[in-house]
Amino acid sequence: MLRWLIVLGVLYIGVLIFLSWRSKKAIRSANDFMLGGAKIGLVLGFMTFAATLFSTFTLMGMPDFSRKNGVGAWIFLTFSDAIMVFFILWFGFYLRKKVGQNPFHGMSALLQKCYNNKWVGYLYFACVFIFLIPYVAIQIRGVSIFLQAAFPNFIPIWIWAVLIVVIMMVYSELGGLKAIIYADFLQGTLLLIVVWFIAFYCLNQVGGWEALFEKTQAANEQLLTAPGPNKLLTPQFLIASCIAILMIPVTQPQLSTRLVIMKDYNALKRMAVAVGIFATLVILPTIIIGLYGSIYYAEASTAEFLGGVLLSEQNNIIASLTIIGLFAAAMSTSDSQLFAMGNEVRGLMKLKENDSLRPIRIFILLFALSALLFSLISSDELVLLARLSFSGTALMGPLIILGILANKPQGKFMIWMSLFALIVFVLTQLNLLPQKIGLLRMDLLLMIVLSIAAFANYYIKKNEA
Amino acid sequence: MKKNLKKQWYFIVGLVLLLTILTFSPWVLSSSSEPTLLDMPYTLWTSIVTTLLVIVCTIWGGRVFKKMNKAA
Repeated sequence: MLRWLIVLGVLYIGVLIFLSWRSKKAIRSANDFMLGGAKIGLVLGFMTFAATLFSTFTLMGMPDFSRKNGVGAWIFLTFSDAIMVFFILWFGFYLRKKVGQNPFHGMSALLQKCYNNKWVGYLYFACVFIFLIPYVAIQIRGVSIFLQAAFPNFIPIWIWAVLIVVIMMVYSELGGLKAIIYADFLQGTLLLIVVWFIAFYCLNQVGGWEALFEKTQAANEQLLTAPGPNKLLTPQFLIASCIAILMIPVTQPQLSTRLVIMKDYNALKRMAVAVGIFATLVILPTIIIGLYGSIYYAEASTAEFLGGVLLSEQNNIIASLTIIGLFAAAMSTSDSQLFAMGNEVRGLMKLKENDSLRPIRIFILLFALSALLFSLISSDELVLLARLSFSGTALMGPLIILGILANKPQGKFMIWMSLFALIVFVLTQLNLLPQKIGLLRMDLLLMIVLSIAAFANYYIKKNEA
Repeated sequence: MKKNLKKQWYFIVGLVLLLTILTFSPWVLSSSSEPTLLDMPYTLWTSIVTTLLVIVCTIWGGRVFKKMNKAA
């Protein structure tokens, strides 16, 4: 396998170097570097959005999640993604309208403008800083675990993690956002090919489509029903997850940036549809791989299952492509997030077009180091960590939507409410507050309260006028 | 024209809400794997259907929403 990995790896790195060189040639200003020239068409827009959304947790987390929780995993991610792309039609339109012809300096700066309050920008930034770290960390951790399984006793897991972060930093530094978008294109294509190859292999091994469900039923019938054998996929868990996923393009800066830099609304709406279709195509095979795992790896650990089904059982070419695909997925998602965070800092510091980007670069480095540290201490439950990230950032959703829809500043009420919700959510995660109030999950309760508060705020301000 | 487009848009939003309620209700989240479709268990095939319908609504909604805002 090593020979194939070297051949394909050199080819992949060669393409990356070419793309970053090509992007670097086109960089003439800080805006070109941070926003990729701000005119992205349908194909690139779709691929970069999809590749940023579907990361290591899709190829590693989702098979493991469906192995443990069954077919309800489809609703958890694919149905929620479909609702999210429908929401993009509406939110993308108003976000682009609000930004107008001005350069987009991140959501923090936009919120400061909408609310005419500097603290709202810092609040948003603090929230995404806290909750994007686990998301970047799972990319690093996922690939590190995998590389260690591929090359046991070669180097310790932390050296793999450091190497990944170094390559990520060098690549984003060379070519800016456009280079990251090209890498996303490459990654999205690779991810789709690899995941279907492995799914077909699993189907072949198990004896076909019908046999897959028959044998899963024999292994554990609850995997074919909801809420699954661990009773995790309850309506409340799925609704809370759906809301958190729905809010991703609103609250996570790497995705809201992509909505803004699309060429026009036409490209945006087509991109939304394409992402929805891509979601179904990329998640279905992960369910197949997961059910295969429930038959043959029922008692195995996450690392044993993934190492087995994605590496040991595959031929050398597919195993090598999987390693590169996973590496590419982690790199493109993390790079997009690091870059988006850099753009947020740029907006908060009010840096001008010709100002030096050094403070942003230093911040990106600090953020990457924080994610690296977190990746070394985090658990292997990649999907649940991703969900934590989505739920945490989702708390800023009502605040952002209110700011973008309103024609005038909306006062401080929602800023205080969002800060309160953020503190409660963090305390809940630290087990200092209960996970449930009565029968209601805390994350769901907070979202309901914030949404009602945003509606009330809007109508009170409207009537004041 | 504008009024008609607005009606269409609200209808599509209503449809997506209905599909969402359906998906998170026992009609889809079933504790039984029967009846199957193309060998798929009930929860899987029904949720695939609702997902595809939401994507169809996105295609339709995109057209209507664009026209509606152009007319405004």
